[in-house]
Amino acid sequence: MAGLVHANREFKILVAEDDPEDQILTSDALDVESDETMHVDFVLDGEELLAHLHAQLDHSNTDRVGLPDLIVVDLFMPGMGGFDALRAIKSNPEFRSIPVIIMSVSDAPGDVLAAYDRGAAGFITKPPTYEELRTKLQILWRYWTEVMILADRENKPAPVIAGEAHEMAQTG
Amino acid sequence: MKRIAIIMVDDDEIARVLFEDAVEEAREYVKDISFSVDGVDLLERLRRQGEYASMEEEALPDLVVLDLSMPRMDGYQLLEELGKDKAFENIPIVVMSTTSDEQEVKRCYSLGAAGFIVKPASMEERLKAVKSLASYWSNIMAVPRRVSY
Repeated sequence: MAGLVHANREFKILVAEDDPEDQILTSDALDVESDETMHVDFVLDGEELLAHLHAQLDHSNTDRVGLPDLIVVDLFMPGMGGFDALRAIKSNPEFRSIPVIIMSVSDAPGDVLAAYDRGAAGFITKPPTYEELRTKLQILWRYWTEVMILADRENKPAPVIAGEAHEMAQTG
Repeated sequence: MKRIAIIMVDDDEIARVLFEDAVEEAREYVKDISFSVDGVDLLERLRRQGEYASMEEEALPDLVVLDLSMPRMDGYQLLEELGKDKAFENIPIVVMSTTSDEQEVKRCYSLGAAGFIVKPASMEERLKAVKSLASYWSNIMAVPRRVSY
């Protein structure tokens, strides 16, 4: 695989989505099972999302290694919704550098602006068909994993070019 | 999905030509690609375009791709200048640099960069990076307010 990868480490995505069918579609679209470099966790609402993030801090010896690299949040969820979750993530110094993408069925300008005001890294609409969803999520995923170098890499291996990563893996 | 207008800022002519060639392969996502040679050049241009922004919404670019080391005004100064100006706060700025020094990456994000890319070394990598960049931003709704980490 060309592009930038992070050697010896999988890329973690945390998806907050209350609809079980949408969870399955997202998982399928990202082709989670056949990609060993990607790990996707699902939570059902904002409260679970924050609980999940806090649990990563508590349980990992090396501090932030368990935190996701990217968070995708459905805007409309029961309980704590997308906006409140986003605000909570961005106001916590431990979590704020994690990019958060808001996903919604609507593209109401008020929602889009509110998302960016609260610190979203992007806002995407949920497409009506599975094929379009798959295309969109693959674009999202490739952008953040293969191309971008993220802000918070303190306890993570330095990003290297894929060729080098491959050599490193071969030489152990 | 919308097709986006990109301005790429780099003093190196070869880098600009290579970028343009890669964009040609991603035309389904890109409606317009143009170039500035450094920060001063870009700021002048955006300020000129900004004057017309109220009349014609398309006047400002959807994405700026920025080299870090440039004469007159480097990438950091440019990020700072762009951050000061309300008119430009909704333009995402992605830095493209030859190094990925951790302090450098963090400094860019803290100055409001929307992303950081290592300059691709091969044609294959360049096509992939430009296509990923263009397809991503063409799928992102509106343009984000730049976020400080």
